[in-house]
Amino acid sequence: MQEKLDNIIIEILDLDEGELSDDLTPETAEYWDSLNHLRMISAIEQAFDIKLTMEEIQSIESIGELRQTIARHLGTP
Amino acid sequence: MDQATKRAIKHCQTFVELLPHLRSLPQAPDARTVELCGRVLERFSHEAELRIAYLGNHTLEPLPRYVALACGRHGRLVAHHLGQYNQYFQAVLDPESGLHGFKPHLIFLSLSLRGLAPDIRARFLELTPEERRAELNRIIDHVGQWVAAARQHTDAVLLVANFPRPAHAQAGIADGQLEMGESEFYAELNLALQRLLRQDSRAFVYDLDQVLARCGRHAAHDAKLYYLARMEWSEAALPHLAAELHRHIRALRGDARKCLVLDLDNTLWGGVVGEEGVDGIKIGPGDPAGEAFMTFQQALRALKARGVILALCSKNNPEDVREVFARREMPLCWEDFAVTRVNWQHKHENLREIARLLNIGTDSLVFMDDNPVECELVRRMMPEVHTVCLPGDPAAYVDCLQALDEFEKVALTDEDRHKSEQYRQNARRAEVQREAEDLNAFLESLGTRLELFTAGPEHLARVHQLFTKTNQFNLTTRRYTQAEIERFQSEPAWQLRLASVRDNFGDLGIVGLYLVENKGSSVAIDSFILSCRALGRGIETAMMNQIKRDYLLSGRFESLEAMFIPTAKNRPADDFYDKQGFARAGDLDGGGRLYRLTRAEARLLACPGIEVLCEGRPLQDGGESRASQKRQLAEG
Repeated sequence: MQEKLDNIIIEILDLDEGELSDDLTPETAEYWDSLNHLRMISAIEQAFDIKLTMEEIQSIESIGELRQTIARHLGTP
Repeated sequence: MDQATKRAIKHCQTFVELLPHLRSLPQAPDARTVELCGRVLERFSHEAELRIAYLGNHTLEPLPRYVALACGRHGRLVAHHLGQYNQYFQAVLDPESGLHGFKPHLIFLSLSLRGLAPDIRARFLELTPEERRAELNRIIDHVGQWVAAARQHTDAVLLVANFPRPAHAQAGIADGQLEMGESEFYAELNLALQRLLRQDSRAFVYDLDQVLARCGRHAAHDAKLYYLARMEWSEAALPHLAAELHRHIRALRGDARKCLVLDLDNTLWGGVVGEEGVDGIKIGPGDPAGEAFMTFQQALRALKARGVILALCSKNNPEDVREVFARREMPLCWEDFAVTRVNWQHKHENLREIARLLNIGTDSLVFMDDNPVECELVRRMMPEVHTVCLPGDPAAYVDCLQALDEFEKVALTDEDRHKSEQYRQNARRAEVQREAEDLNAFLESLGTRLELFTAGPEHLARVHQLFTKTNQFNLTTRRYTQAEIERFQSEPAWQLRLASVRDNFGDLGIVGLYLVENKGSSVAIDSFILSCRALGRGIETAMMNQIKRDYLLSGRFESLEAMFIPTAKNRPADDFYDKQGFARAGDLDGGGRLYRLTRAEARLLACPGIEVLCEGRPLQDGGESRASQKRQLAEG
């Protein structure tokens, strides 16, 4: 599941190999604007058949937080 | 998608390299695929053949990338421009706007009522029926003003989205009892929009309401996306929206395919007639499979009424097949097919023969068969044919047919309704020609009647079709837009004349045109077009004779200019002006040639068997018949 999630993030944010890490934020990722943020969430929702709340979407400010939120939805620790 | 494919896509240096990857993507790609491919496609946007601008009062990203992908996989490279949020008027009115710099061919406008008429969305029931009607009129006026402005300030074709009904009426089920309830409101609003644009040759309705209904209204809207980013459409709706836009684009570019070739056994009826016999095959009411095939045949008849030519290609004994059409009651009859090939040859050989008899390219064929082996062989031998392998269950055939976007047209003309019949007549003429020994005797026996007349506004759709779809006998291949054609019709410096042909076999309809520009001191033929089904009997010579009469022999001008611009497809027209007596007057960059004909050297040429009417009157000199022709040639 981690790999599937990582692939989505890398593709939507157009990241290079090795750029992906928990500390990555909209400030440090070139293509992580508000629209791509939503596209990425939509793609993740589509791929894992889950639905995030608006509050969750707005509160995610790093890849680490994103991974935690998804893990919570999938019931994995 | 595996890593290797992803890397290959990212490394594509040209659109041509990317194309095979796009073609192998699934029909409904997911967000990641669209972003990946969309970004790569944007690298090539400077080469785009079609520029689309997206305007509206809600967030329209990421629709453009879905559209770019839908067009890309069909080999069409498009570039997009997203207008600034909610500045759809400014975009067309401000000459410095990004839209004007972009020079779009097509502008897509989507207005959400949430922004445009918030009371209708939020407080519908609190408004009186009069207030609702006033809002409706205000919305239509608003759209009308935008269309007028866009028409005036741009050359683009306009595609205006209509207004989707909400999934639930605010009055609940009582809505239908209200005077001007929501369902009535949206029905009238969208009808008013349709009527507003129907008279406009450059603006069309994009049936957003229907697309979202197809997708499922709940699936098509993700409320949180609206609150977070003013996005009206969910990710799931986007491929549907893009597919519909692509249909409009195909229709506007005029690249519909012309002919659908069908198999028989298990395609038009259930079972194999050679094995089960004429009475054993399933077609007709009372049997589930029989009814499914019957509905499929009805859908095929509808295609024929749209102007699509139907043809048959079946491995069977001809007698068995003839017996089915004679004895079983079916929606389709033998005469509905312009050409039939029932034999034991390879299907791809038959397809080539069918194309030849219809005088169309093999890339204009769609082939439908239930047998995957036959389909694969045709795909391999003729990749330019669009092959559709029907699904296993006949209940799914109609959906399969409706999912095709190969036959989309902007509008249906009268010619379209009779097109299949015309092609059938033509194929018969082709067969008769083989029997005629003397070519002139054959031409005389055709009894061709040519009518030349000035194009009126009612011919606009057909004229546009001729300009955009005729490839072979097209001397300059100028693909004019409807706006430009209207200009030619209204400006006195231009003469746009149409050629309509009838013969003893039937009516070919409007088959050609010429466009002549009066530049004051000189006159030039800008375009000369003849549909391939009217070639081979001298009609083009008769048309040229009229041009010579009107401009040179009448004494109006000393000389007439013309041009031939070669393309991959117009070799048949290569020596036309030479044969008509024009002198070569120089070469153009790219291989084109200039021609000139002086009054002194102009000669009318013989067109045996053709009777000509010009602007409703027979020619005063007796026309093109042989006797008068000899007289004119002798007089020189």
